[in-house]
Amino acid sequence: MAAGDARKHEKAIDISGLDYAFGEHEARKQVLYDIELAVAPGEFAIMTGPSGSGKTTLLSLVGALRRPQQGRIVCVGSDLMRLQGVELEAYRTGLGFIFQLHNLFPALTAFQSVQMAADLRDDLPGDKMERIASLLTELGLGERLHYRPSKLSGGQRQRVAIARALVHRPALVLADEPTAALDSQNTEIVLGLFRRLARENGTTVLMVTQDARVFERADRLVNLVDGRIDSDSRR
Amino acid sequence: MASLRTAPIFSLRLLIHEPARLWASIGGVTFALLLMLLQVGFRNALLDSALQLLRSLDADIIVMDKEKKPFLARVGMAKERLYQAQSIVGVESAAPLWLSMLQWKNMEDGTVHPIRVVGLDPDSPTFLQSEVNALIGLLRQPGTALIDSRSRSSYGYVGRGMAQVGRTEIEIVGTFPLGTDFEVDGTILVSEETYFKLTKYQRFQTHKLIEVALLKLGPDADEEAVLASLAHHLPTDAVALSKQQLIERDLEHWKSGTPISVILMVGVALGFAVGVVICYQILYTEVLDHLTEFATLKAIGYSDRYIQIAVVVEAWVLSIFGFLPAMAIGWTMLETLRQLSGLPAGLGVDDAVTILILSITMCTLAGILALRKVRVLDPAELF
Repeated sequence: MAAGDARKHEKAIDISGLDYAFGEHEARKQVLYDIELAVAPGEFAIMTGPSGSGKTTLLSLVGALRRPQQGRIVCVGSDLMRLQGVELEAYRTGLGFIFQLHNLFPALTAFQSVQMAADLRDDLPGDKMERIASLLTELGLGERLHYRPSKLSGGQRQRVAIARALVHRPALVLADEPTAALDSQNTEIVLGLFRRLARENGTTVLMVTQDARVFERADRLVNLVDGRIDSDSRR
Repeated sequence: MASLRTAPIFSLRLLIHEPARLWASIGGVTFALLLMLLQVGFRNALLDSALQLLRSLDADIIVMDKEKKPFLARVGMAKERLYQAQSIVGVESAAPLWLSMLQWKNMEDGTVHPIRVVGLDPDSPTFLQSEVNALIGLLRQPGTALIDSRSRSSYGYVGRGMAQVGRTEIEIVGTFPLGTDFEVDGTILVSEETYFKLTKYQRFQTHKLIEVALLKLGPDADEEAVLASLAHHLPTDAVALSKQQLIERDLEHWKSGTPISVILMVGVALGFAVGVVICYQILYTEVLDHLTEFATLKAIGYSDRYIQIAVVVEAWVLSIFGFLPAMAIGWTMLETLRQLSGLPAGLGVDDAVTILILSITMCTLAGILALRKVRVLDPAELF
């Protein structure tokens, strides 16, 4: 999956009849029930809902971090029921993951952390180093390119993690509470970046958040309750 | 696909990020390697010291009693075998050698210490050392001896002058370099006449017995043919081996036939095991401390192989940087041991290469064990 080809699929995310359960036998606990969800390329969708409603599980299924058990789940042209090995790694390489915790290596500078993600792709257009520096600068870290996480604030670390997820212009960004550690100004910057990627690259954003500041900027709000889609509204 | 080429750079960044931890890790690996190095050095001391007398003899073929094993074991042989061997076509000369163990009296403090007494014929080629050959004529004077200048300090003064060996006073007329071994602290060379004077109080000592016969071959002689001829003509109580064959036989004896050699090899194995444990602890802690970060790498598309290479490269760096100080410290310690004991404790290039290979193997094994945690790492836990 090359960067910049996000629009070539009719649907960025196409889920139907998806069930998911943790555990087996008596310990089995179903967390997702018959999920039907289609997200178009370039769409900015927010998943919200109470704790334990299955949002994060659904996000990890779309990211191929968990193996689907039942149903159909096709994302940016890949059938996730069948992915394994090198193909699975290639699929993940094409995504942009933003986790709730930044998970940056203490040994790597902001630039090196982002470079780790950029190094995964040999097909990035333009100068890779310039792209990394430019992205970090856009996220307000131009003066902190060569700082390690220990010298960065929580918000700055989170922005490094966001840059790491976006540097290769992924077709699909999966984000778990990415703005929780950011102030309003930086939240705006990050959302602006998502918007621009969607516009220029057709990048689809699927974000789990409880941050009300973000709701109004999304194209779509999907509400999950007890493992089922309770509401799905376009804005 | 993740470029595996960047894994070593990533690995180095992880390693040098915390200098204190890096130095502690290198120290741990150095300690384990030092354990191995010293055992190898002690083993070399055992093997080299046990063979140094044999190696210094000027002989192509050695004839001895068939029960004599190893060379330093004292088993007499009928002197007649010397003459029988001398009569074989191709043998240019045959020299007798006698071996015995007596007590050397330290004239400074009155203590006594075991000393090897080597009897020889001053008129026959016996030793390769030029120091011996330059002074051997002096031994024709009865009651004289040459003493090993590398004898242990427990002998007191070692040099020209009067000395007491057994119950007999002798005159030391010169020195030669040989070295101690695990049995004795030094060696003296004496003539046949002086030898029997010194050993007259020992049981079974008789002029009819010699220890070995040292044969020199003529310039055109075929060693294989002479050995075959000796085997054919000598009675079955004697055996003839080329010097090289005897060295190899003794080496094998000391390597595998003696408890001390086995103990030293067990020491090397223990050092290796300790090294694996230390290195495993270092790398496992490293992996454990970065577990979520490694999981993130897997989530964003890095393969297990990339992380494996990164951790194994860390292991290799530790093995090499642990090896260098271990060699320096080990060499210094063995050199000190050599000075203090006179034992030829030391390390050769082949030993260094072996230890380096063991070091890399040890750290790689530890790295592979530490990676078990990464293999079962589930990036889904990150969300």
